[in-house]
Amino acid sequence: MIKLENVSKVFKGDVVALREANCDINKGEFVFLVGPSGSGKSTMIRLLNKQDEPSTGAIYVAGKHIGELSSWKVPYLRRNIGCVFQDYKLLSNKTVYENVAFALEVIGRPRHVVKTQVPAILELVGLSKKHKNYPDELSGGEQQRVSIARAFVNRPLILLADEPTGNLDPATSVGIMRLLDRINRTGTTVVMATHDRSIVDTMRRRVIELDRGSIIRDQARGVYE
Amino acid sequence: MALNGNYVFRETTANLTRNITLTVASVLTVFVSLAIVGTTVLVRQGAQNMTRQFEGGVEFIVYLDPKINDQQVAAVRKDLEDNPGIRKISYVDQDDTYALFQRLFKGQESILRNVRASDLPTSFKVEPVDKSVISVSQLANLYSKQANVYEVTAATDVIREMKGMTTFVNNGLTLFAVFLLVASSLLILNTIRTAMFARRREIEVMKLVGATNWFIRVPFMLEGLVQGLLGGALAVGFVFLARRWIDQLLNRSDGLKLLQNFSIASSDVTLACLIVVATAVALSVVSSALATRRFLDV
Repeated sequence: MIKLENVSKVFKGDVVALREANCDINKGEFVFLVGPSGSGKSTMIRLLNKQDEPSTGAIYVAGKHIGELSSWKVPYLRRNIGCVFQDYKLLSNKTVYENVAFALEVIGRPRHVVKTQVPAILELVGLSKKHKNYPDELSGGEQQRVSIARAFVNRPLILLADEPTGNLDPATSVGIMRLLDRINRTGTTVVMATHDRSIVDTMRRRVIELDRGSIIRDQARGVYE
Repeated sequence: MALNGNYVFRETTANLTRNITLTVASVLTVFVSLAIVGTTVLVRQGAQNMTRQFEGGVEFIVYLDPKINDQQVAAVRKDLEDNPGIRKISYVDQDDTYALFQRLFKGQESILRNVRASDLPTSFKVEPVDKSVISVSQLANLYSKQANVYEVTAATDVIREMKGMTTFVNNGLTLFAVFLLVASSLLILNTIRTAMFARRREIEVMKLVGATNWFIRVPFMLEGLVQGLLGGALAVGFVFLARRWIDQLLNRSDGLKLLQNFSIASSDVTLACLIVVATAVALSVVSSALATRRFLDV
């Protein structure tokens, strides 16, 4: 599903964010990217949905070399990749329902699809009762659930999560992880960058560890360290 | 790209009303600059209508009394032909004069109704050998005193006046209009950039969930287009008003005066309006396209 071949990312001033990274992630896998801040986790996530371009190397997503994708096709790539962020990126002037519906409307899904999909996904993340609330009326955990609902409402093949529990307390984080696990079990490939040791150790999934831009460990059913 | 009309309409109106002061500023600048463009076209066309009769070396026109008979016309013709100072003459009969008149005042029913073909003077267009100002005015003077001649209009007066006016219009107003057009383009561009900046969070989310660039762009581009068209519509209104003012300055009952005077035909008004609208569309589309190029890189 995702394949990196000798991928490097060098920013201005010779800052190497990713060095000769190689990995192969299969459909339906759940992968943790771990490592200290600045080790290249976020860079790797940003490369996968073409928010950034690698300096060298090739990235394949769903069998396509995304470096060779013409720019007008990038939106269609992204429709297959859901994104969840540490800071949720919800629109404060829209309700929970509108935030999720927005993701479908802007890719041109017809109204009847929006009307059936949005309530279904809000049910899945457990926020049916709060669909009329605005993001600032919700707790951090609830906001992250809305963000996951938005990322998953279009049933993408891949879900990228960049420190989704970074702003949440441990108990809330467990709830978010249950949700991501449930999404993973529908066959969605999940790649999650985190430095939450207890989550990684509890879940026992594949762990790719980065250190100063290099992959130093790739372990099935791994732990944080 | 499936563009939902409802979505586009909602977003465009929201953009236009969100920053109403900037929107009004853009619309007004577009209006003023295009009003100048339209007026320039009108004045230029009017001047052309007036000087067209003096094309091909014609330096003065001898208008004959509308009531004279054919023998009298022939007498004037012979007199002109016998004059060694005159190279060439051509006779404009009543039908030709009326055709010209109808073309100039097409659509202006009140004028057309008041003036009949028989009210219009026939004329000789005269090309003298010596085209210096003194010689032309001497000849013109000579013929204006002749029997059966109603009036003589020399190109020297009219064309000089018009040339001065068109030069002023061409240089002064055009330059002025160009500056204002640049200003209005920049204002539209800035208004759209501001709108996009205000909504950068939404744009970021749209890009991340896979909205196409065109989907994101269209409401903003429409915003620019609406501003341009609103300004253009006001300018078209102004063009019609300017035409009314010019008409009111004309003497409506005297056929000769109508022909001699600076006049604007309906086709000129149409031309001015077309130019105004085309400029409005071009200006706003270009500014919008430029404005929406940024902020789309995620």
